[in-house]
Amino acid sequence: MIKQLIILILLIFSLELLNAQNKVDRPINFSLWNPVSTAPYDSLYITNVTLGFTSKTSTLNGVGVNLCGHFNEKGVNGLSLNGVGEFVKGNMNGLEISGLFNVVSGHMHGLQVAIVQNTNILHAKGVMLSGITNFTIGNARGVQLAGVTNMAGSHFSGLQTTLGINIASSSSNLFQLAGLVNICAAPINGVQVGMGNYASGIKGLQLGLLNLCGGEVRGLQMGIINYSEDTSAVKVGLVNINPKTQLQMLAYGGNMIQNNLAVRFKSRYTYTIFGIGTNYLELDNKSSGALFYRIGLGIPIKRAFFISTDAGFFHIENFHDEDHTDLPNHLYSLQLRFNMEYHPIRKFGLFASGGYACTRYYGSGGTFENQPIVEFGFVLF
Amino acid sequence: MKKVFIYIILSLLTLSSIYAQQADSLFIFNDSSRMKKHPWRAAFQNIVINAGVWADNRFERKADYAKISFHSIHENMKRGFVWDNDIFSSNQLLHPYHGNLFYSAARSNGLNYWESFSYTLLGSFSWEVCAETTPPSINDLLTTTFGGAAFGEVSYRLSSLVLDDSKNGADRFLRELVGTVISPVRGINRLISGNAWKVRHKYYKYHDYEKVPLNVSVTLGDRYMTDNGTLFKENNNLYLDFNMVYGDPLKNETNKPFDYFSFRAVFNIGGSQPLTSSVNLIAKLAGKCYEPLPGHRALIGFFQHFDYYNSEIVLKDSKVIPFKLAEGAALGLGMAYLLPATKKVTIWHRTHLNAVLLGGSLTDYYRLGRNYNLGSGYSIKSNTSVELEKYGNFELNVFDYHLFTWKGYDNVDLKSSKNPYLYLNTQGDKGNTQFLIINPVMNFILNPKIILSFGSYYYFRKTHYAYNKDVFSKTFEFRLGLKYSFKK
Repeated sequence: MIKQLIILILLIFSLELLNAQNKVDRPINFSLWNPVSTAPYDSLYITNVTLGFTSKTSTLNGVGVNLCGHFNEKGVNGLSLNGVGEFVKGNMNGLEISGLFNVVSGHMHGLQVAIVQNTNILHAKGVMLSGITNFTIGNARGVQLAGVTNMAGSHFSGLQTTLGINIASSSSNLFQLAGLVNICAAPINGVQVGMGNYASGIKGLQLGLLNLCGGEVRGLQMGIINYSEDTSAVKVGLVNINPKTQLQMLAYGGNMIQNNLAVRFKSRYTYTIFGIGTNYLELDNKSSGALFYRIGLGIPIKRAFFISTDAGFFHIENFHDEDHTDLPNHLYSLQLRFNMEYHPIRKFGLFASGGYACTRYYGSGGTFENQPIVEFGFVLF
Repeated sequence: MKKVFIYIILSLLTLSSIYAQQADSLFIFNDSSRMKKHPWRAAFQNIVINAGVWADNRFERKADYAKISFHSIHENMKRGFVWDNDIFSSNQLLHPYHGNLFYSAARSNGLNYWESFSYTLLGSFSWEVCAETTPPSINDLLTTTFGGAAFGEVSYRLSSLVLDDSKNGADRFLRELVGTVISPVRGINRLISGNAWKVRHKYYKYHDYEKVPLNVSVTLGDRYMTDNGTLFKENNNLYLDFNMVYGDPLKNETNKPFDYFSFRAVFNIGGSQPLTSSVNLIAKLAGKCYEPLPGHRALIGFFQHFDYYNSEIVLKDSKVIPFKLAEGAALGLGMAYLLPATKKVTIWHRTHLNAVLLGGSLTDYYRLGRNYNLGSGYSIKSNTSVELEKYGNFELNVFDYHLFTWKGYDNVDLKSSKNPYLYLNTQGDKGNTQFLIINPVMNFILNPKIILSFGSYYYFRKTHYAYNKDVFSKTFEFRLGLKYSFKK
């Protein structure tokens, strides 16, 4: 009987201890600086409300409002508002808003808002909104919206949007939209839209001024300059480059534009040319110039000859027309050429071109002049 | 057979310990006899530096403010510290250089960073109180101390890169000369001690590149600076950009102050802009490296910052100076993060959050010999760098400075005020300035050492004045240059 009584008492004590471990001891904490608070930090406490200048809690299930910051050891479930920042060593589920930064060491599920930086070390799922940087180190899923930089250190699924630069360092299913640059250091499944885009492989779309792909392209590159190491990639752009593209320099003179310097991106049968020239002789002015783009087809004949035809767009600028006010400041010209090229040695060739140019005014669309073209020059490399 | 085997093992062990000793014996900082501190010699040299500069002011320049006496010293101590009105470059750049002399005197006498810092503070304090009849200046004290320590430590470490006591002849002379130009007080101390010509075959190296690597680049190119943000109203001039990254931020074993820093100075050659365009320094004072996940590496630390941006009117008929900004005394927390590197891509991100103890920014109203306000506040810096192995790199820098000018006067003719020192004792126009720089840079590799560099800079300034109309201004510039880069 005595034995049974002792066992019963011990059981009751054990149950009490277990309850003590789980119970909410200090639901409300007013804190100036831990331990100057109504509920100084204790690893067993669960807090429902913490208010003050700075506070430290073990588990916060509820609301935290701190003028400066909040340090949490095990986890936050609920809403946390901080003037400067919050550091959560455990998991964060809910809404976290801080003046400067948020750091979550564990898992983050919810919404984070900070002016300087949101940092999540393990898995993150939700929305991150930051004036400067969002940073996920572990795998993440959701939306990153930042003023300057979004960074995903591991796999990321979702949307990255910024005025500056988006970075995903691991293989990702991702829509990246950037004011400047999108980078995916591993293959990406999705879309990159920015002034410059880089992915080490792409299954989807790259849309930008400069698109680079370090691997296979299954999809489309669309931009001014497209480069891929995959020779079979589909590209829509003014200049499309792959490892087999030959980069050549053209220097030539002609009856329409006196001196020209251009770069030719030449594939087996197609090429594009970007160049500048000065002066446009019809303007009777020493300070005029042209910026041009040509796209063409060519066939090598034996080893030394190459014949080609191309169409081009020329923008012509009359720089300092102080004495000839009747001359237009800007013109454009549409031109068609046939070219013959002879290479006595592999990296040097001579060429002659003939064609026809229609030069017109911008806006009104009227014709400035139509004339034949004759040009001679050399090719390097 | 067993004996032979034991003999071989013992021989190998002995050889390895001999090699280890030899490696240690290369470096000056492993020589216990050279680690001795000379605090009194350093203090005496600080007095000599102040006396020398004062003598130049008093007898060569015949400056009135150098006519000191015990009475002037007593008056200065009685009056206390005020804000002074020297021009921007003097207050924000030359005073730190002056402080660098105090610092170098202590550092080259064996004292460490923090000890030398205190010598810089004392040197500056004694100059302000004793060496001028004008009231001591609180802004000079701060910029000379913080900026001086920063410049001093950088110049000390830079001079260590060229010194080598195993050399002799013309090579040695050249090394000592360059070292003295970089750190004059250290050079003079080497002359006094005889270290400048002593040839050693042990403990002769001053820098260990394996522990503290170095990455230096020099860019020469064209700077296209627009007037008030108008694209075709511009000034073109040559620029020279010296950039250095010293040390590896992700090494825990090199954790002394300035074991890792980045230093950058840009100079204008010709054109309408001042010779020194900008000076930027970010130096680690203390920090710890982490590996939050396998392959990820991060440094979290405490950093010292120095920033100086100067410009003048872009064209002769310009009405607006684009910007002036400095943070001479700034300290803060920072993070450098290296994402797991792939074969083709290396990604760095750095964030800094600083308290600016003293800074300066352009003002649109205040004129008493200076056109900038002094103040304190905070700054936030973000740098993201993506290096693509074959092509080059893209970098995005965003720097945001927010400086508050606490002490200013409303509608008071400061010079005619009854208080003769009132005009000397204001930070400028009361208010605050937010200055934002957005700087994307693209570098294209032409060959392993030559890089084509293109950068654009967007400057936004919003100044709120307590007693005047607020001003918002913006402008931009482009820089195109060839960069020569080398790593060691």
